Amino acid sequence: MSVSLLQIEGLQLQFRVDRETVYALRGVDLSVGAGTRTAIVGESGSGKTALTLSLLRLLPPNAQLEGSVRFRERELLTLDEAELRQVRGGQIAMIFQHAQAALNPLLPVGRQIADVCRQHSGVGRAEAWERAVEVLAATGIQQAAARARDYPHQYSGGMAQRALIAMALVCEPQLLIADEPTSGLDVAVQQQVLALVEQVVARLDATLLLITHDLAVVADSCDQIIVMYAGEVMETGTTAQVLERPANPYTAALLACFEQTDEGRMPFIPGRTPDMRQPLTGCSFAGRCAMTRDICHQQRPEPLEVAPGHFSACHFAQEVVEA
Amino acid sequence: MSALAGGQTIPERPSLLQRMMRINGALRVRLNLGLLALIVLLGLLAPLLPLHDPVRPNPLHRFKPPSTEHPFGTDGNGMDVLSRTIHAIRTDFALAISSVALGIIVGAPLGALSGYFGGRLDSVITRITEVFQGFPQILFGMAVLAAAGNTMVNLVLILAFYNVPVYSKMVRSVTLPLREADFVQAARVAGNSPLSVVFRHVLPNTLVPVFSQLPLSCAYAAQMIAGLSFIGLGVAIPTPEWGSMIQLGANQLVFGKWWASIFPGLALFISVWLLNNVSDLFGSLVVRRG
Amino acid sequence: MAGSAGEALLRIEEATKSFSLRQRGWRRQHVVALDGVSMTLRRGETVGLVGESGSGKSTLGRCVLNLLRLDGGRILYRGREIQALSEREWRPLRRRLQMVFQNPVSSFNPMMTIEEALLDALRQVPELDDSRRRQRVGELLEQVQLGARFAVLYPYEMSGGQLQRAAIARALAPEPDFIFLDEPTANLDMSIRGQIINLLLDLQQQEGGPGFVFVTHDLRVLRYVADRIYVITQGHIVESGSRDQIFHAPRHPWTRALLEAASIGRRERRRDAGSGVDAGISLESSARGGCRLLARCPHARERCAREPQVLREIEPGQYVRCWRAEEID
Ligand SMILES: Nc1ncnc2c1ncn2[C@@H]1O[C@H](COP(=O)(O)OP(=O)(O)OP(=O)(O)O)[C@@H](O)[C@H]1O
Ligand SMILES: Nc1ncnc2c1ncn2[C@@H]1O[C@H](COP(=O)(O)OP(=O)(O)OP(=O)(O)O)[C@@H](O)[C@H]1O
Ligand code: SF4
Ligand SMILES: [Mg+2]
Ligand SMILES: [Mg+2]
Repeated sequence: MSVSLLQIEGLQLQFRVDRETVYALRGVDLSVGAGTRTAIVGESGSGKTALTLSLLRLLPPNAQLEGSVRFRERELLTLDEAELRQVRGGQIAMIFQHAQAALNPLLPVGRQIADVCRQHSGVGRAEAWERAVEVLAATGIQQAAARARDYPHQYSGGMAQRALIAMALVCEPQLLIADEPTSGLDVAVQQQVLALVEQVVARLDATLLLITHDLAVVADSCDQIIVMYAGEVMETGTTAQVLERPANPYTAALLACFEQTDEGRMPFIPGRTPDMRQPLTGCSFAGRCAMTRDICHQQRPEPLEVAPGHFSACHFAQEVVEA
Repeated sequence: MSALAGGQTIPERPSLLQRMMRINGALRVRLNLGLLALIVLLGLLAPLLPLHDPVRPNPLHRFKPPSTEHPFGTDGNGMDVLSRTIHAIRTDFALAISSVALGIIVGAPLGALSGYFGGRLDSVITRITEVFQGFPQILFGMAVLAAAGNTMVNLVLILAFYNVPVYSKMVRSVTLPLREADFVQAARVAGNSPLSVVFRHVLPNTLVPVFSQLPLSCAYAAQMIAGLSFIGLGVAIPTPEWGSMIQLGANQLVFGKWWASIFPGLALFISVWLLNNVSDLFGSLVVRRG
Repeated sequence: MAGSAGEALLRIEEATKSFSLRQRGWRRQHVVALDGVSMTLRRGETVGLVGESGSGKSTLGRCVLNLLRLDGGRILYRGREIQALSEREWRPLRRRLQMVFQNPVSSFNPMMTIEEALLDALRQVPELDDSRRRQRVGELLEQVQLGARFAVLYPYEMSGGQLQRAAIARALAPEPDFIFLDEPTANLDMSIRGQIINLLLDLQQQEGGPGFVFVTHDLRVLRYVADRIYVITQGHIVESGSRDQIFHAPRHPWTRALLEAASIGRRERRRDAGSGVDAGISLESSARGGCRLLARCPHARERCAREPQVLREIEPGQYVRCWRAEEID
């Protein structure tokens, strides 16, 4: 096990929406090792984005956050705005999920990247512009020097996504959080971008936190996996452990969805995500799980270590691994 | 297609007012807004308060210094300055708000239409607003009031006239990038006519900068009203109004009779200051969200 | 998957579209987003559209939806050229053609709740009265696995995948004949992706089901939904054919590279490619006159630089834009 870079304890996040409460994170405990490449996978709406936004406290005003997040032994949740701003961008960079929405529509794309570059490394205007063009080109945008002058709406979806990746990379962060960075990219560009990210991460000796639904990307690019469901961490372990010997029924069910079927219908997990407005008593997956027994509805499962470094929050984790 | 299995119903959604309240997150905005609200409330409740009649002259009590009977003293016509200062809130705020509102009601749609459709419409509207803004304000106001009659309605129209180009320009500049926005395209796909795209989808999204400009415009309008009244135009004497009160009292300032103009002056200053603050804070909130 | 028999719902003939970028120095620069794209779609059919980033897929969608004007070529919906219609003639057709935008967040008005957005789209359905419309909102949200409770939320209060499903619900609302689905499942986990795909397939199976153009980078999804597949790059269709032809007997070097890239593990590929630029992606676009893919094609010959390539039918229903298609193996 490597030294822990990021230590999250008892993280609870709630959103208030018109007198109702959405429980987006229900007590998350995690540790991300320095230099690892960790994937976060899980159900849509399970709190993956919310988790990463919480780390940097980039939350909307209706959010309520409790718990502890330590980044290199430093508590992030009690930092003041000025200290936080240093951490954001400088030490932790983020590639947001919605590229086109994260870019400023009023400024040319290259200018936005150059601005970030200047803020971060204090280089001059001209040099920052050159850096911006260079890194845009490195993400595979053709005629980067010319396209850098264009505005975000003149970019295709995938190009905007790459621009955002470029922006995060010029920050030279210690921790790079990438929220579905490749979801709109074709396979070839995907590979190029991932190679670039990996290259930068390796050069800086940085840590990568990658949110994705694409298990092929996970298998290729990551060494650790965190599986989330309904605001909870269901399973953590190395890529091989989780993908080959899943210890949680949700993970197993999700993996089964990747199997090819012949009937012309795609496999899925029957049932629906629990209502995030209700506090949970038992296991969050209980309604949909094939192994559910009484205890699942009554008691919330604690993470069980089924193998060294492989944890699963399921009352029957051991049985699942052995199955 | 189950018809809403289990009797699930869609809960009521919050009203427009509730939605607008979501923006005033910052404490300082609340503080400034609270003080402003207090002033407005004072003005609204003025007729119910135990005050002297603000427009009854009393030749026997001219220029009386502040006393328990007249805490702010009396003015050159023997009218109670405290009562007039408070009643003037109604005049000044009503004039300022109605003129700004009129400016927005006309200016914002013009700006949205001109920004969204572009082309000839845009150049015509832009040209006209530029011409409007070319006139020197006070001179223009004096000329119109002199020609069309020195009435409150005309005063409101003149001030609105000034605000129309301010808001049309502002809304136009916000509309330009919105024209390309995906949600505007999606609104077209959802079957909105071009006008309905402008009024239902584009215009509401330009209102954030409009709201942050609003207090500033009110402050400016209040100053203008006072300014015009000060030179004898705008609001005529018996009606309580800060500008005319300041003017009436100013003549006597040199004789040490400071109270007749200082108190309305202070009221004007505080209101303008609060409005400016709120405007700045709104602006910074908007920037931080973006 | 619907039968192939059916009238042409949509015909795209030689569509071209270019954008002018900012003026630089003396000349204006142009991006050619569509360059002579032709395509047919029958009722109840799904055409898969795959291609690299920036190849013109979303632009094609915007043109078909009449949001952008073509520079050349025609788009026929049930035999009527949509870009030649007046606003009044186009109006009643509007609800028949829908689109799911690629970016779910920016395609929702931030000042409207999901319910308001769906009601906005349902206003085009004159058969429904107000209370039925509200009920319909609930049903649509149920269909996309969200549930009525999401109706009150604003776009920024939802996750990426939730919003993407709301976007699909909005496109389904006016019961269209045609939907351009631009990466509709990119933000969904594999289970919900399956549910949404199944929903779309079910809808299509119904009598008079809609036709889809389905843009995706996920070949697995493509295998389930597409009846026919068009492969596009740099605004050009380089190959088209039935799903089986494309998956089992791809002919164009670019299609082959695409399928190969997806099947081989990235690590290996990168190792193969060595330390330099990935052989599959080169940054210059190629010389005029010859094949567009010249600079990036491992099978290029001298003739490729001389002759512009045209689409030709090499198997019944399979078209390829490469003179060497039969030789390469
Ligand atoms: N500002 C907000 N107000 C209220 N609820 C919110 C807000 N932001 C997120 N949520 C809710 O919190 C939950 C978690 O959202 P989050 O964006 O983290 O999901 P996610 O795991 O990233 O999903 P996806 O894969 O679809 O992007 C969702 O149910 C969402 O509806
Ligand atoms: N409004 C515009 N102004 C200028 N150029 C544009 C505009 N819209 C698109 N383009 C350019 O046209 C080309 C095709 O863009 P399009 O969005 O159609 O690509 P795409 O195939 O959808 O790619 P992706 O998979 O990345 O979304 C790109 O080079 C893009 O930059
Ligand atoms: S024509 Fe030549 S360059 Fe083009 S795809 Fe075929 S072999 Fe490659
Ligand atoms: Mg997310
Ligand atoms: Mg696109």
